[in-house]
Amino acid sequence: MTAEAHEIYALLAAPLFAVGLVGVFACRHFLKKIIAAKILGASAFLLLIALAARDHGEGPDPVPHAMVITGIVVAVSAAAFALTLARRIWQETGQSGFGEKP
Amino acid sequence: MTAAALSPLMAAAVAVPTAGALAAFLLPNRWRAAVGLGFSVLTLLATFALAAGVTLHGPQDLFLGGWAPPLGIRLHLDGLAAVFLAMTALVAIPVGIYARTFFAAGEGSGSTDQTHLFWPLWLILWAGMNGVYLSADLFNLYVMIEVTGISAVALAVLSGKVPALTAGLRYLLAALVGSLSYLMGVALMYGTAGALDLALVAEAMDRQWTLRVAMGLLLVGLMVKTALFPLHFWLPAAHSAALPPVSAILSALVVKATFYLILRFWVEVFEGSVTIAASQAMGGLGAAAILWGSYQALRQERLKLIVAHSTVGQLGFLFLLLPLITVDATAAEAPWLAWAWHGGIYQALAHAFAKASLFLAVGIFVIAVGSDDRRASVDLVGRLPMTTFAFGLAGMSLIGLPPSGGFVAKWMLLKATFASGQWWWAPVIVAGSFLTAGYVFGILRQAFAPSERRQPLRQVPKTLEICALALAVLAILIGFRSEEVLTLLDIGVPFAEPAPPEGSEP
Amino acid sequence: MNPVAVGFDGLLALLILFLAVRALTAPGLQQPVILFIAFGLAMALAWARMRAPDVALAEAAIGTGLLGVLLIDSLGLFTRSKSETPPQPRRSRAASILAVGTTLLLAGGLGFAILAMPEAEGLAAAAAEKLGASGVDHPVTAVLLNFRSFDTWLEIGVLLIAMWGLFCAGGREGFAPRATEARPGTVLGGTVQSLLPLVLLVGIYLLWLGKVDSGGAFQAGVVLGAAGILLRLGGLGFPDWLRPWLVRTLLLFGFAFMLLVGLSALFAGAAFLEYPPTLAGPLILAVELAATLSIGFTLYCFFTYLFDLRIHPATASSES
Repeated sequence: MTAEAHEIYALLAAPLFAVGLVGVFACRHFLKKIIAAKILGASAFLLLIALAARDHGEGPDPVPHAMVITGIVVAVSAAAFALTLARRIWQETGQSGFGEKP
Repeated sequence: MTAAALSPLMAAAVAVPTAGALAAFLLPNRWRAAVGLGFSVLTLLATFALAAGVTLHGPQDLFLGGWAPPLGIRLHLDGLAAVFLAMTALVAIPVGIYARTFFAAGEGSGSTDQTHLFWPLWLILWAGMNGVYLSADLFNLYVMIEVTGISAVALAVLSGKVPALTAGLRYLLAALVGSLSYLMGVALMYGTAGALDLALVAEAMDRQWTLRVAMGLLLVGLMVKTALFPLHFWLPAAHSAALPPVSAILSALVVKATFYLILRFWVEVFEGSVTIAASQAMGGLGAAAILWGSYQALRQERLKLIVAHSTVGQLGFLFLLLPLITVDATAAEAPWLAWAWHGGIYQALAHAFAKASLFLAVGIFVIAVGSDDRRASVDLVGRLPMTTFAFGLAGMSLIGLPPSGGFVAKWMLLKATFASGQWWWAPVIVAGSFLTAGYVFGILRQAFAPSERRQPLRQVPKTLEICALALAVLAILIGFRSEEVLTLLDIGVPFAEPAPPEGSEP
Repeated sequence: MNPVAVGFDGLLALLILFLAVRALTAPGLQQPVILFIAFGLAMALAWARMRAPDVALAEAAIGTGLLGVLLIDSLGLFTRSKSETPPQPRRSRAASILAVGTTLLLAGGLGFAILAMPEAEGLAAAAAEKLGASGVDHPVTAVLLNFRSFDTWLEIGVLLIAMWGLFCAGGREGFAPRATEARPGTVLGGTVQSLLPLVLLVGIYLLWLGKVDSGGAFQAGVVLGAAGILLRLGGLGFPDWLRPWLVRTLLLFGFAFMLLVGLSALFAGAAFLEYPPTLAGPLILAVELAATLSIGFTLYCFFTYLFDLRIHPATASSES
């Protein structure tokens, strides 16, 4: 692992965050909105892990690792909830996005 | 009570409602309301003991798991936290009693039984909000925000009806965007400050570029969840499509929890790095929210939508606090700092009681009349006198008429705008009050008007009416007891020192 | 500095970005879902490259594995059950330019902030110093289950809250009484049943591994959940012996157990969730066992609830 590698991933967090954020609003289909929210979350996780990889002599920082594991579980829980809502709306009305004519 | 007794009590403010949620979920449906209410009372007692304790012993810290920061998580209790804890508990009890009667009467449930989940969800939501008030750790706050957000959305879709589901999904996505933007801000701050504890992060804050972006992400994330204009798009549908006790909780409390965080970050962490321009921008959004939200409330045809849009407008008043306290002056030179601070918090309190009461009252109108259309609620004063009276009292506080909590709030904010020389907020406050009067009196005029078209009313349990009235009375009463509330509020928070008698004008 | 390694990381970063963009812009639903799963796997690789194997395991198992299964199952629903999908109006050119412009602006601003970030020390030294007193040998487990166990406790709570959310959204608390289309004789069903002991073994191994190395309750829980999901896919319905009270108990067991541990510390005069130093190791193991059980069961329930909801839609009448 080189010093530069984690900087590459830290920087990657910026476009991922932007793509996810714009995607949540710009995508029409519920499923894609949920995927966009997951990408948004992944960007924050990526930055945290990249920060943990900045080595000051003790190996990687375990605190961001723990934060991201917690974050992944929370993100999946929220996504499962959102998916249930989306599926239920589709089954009841045939709408797959906000503001569609049923 | 000794200071040592406060540590377990701080943990109890989160643990007791959580235990209640678990007990309610584990037990058969018929036990849930009783268990839920029992644990609500225990939580109320714990929060009141905390308020008493902080008055006697001053601010307190608790290191969870016995690990001190920077490694561990710290809970922090001060006057501001105590006031919000008490506010939540005081709204919780009447709303809880209302909910018990509401669901027992078979309202709000179709052929499904998931409405029994109200109790577990509401108690865990309460635990999450208490955690938001107490936690002093950036990442722990993220988890608390998610606990609060996900349980709030689940409550919003409790009815299982399609409009609630659609509004709920929009609410959930907005909540996720808000919390993830917050989390990105946390990541940047951790990278820069190397700590998560708020006090340690505050020490590392300066006007460095990374921290400014972090601050922006964190604030925008919290603004989405507080529904500050123009990020309020999700609120009216979600709050109006929920069942009445849930609407009361969402509108009175849940949006305040993230506002509380904005306030705490602003005065404790970002203090010194926020610019006057940024504070004026926040005030500007608040002003826009007041005008837009109140104007939209005036235009709505459905009662619950009027009350929901009114929340967007009333939340705007809270943000006028930020420009008024962000000035190059100390509390000794500027007496308006304390006025603005008190006025802003008072607005949060008065709105919590008044808005909870309005949603409960509107819920009663809808049950009685059988329609959410504002034109259907005619000639009610003789037939539902208690609820009409409650609506009137709560509306009075919302408008800011004396004597009420809302009056104290708006009066102190007005005083602060003139004393600070930021007079341009004053016309907005006055206009907001007039617009509020417009939609409140619009509904009241109909309720008082004798009508030929009056329909026979459905019987409404008296308990529901008493709960709505109790909250309205609280909204008025805090206008009379402001001394006590302000004394509690000043413990351990900046702007604590009461201004010296001769404050100098700028 | 190794130019090959940097080149690999650079390419992987570009691939991740490409997959994310395509997952949101590809037409239809099937491609986006598959691209998203590929995105998750590429992310897991990135975690592993940054010496975060615990995170890589969690991401691959939960973030991509479980969510991927849920998304693929939803794919079937959204593309099949309604015969004609409403024609999607074309997005206007202006809207596309706005979206791309906003993305670039946001990415630029945030990227600049990340580049300008000073090198803070972080908490690695603090964690290493206290590791000896934590009762476990693996730093990430020490943070998760001792130093910051309050976060972890609440996170297990979020799983439970989300399950309640699923119940609300689905319009039914609890599970359909015995799904009817069990297909015992199928190849999948048979394979799954013979694989089950092996899956359980892997789960227990991962749990034990968390004491000393990467692994632990979350990964072990996911493996258990995955075993259940395979069984469900193999045609084995929600078991009869899982009575509603047992379901509720299993769902809240991990969260409640940690609460009890935390409260007993209060009664012993310590702080909430504080372990006595001599008992820290065994207590953490007990908490992990309880957490594994609940996490695995809750993840299984996420899937089963959604799966059953497709076969037996909620009967709640909808009104607008």
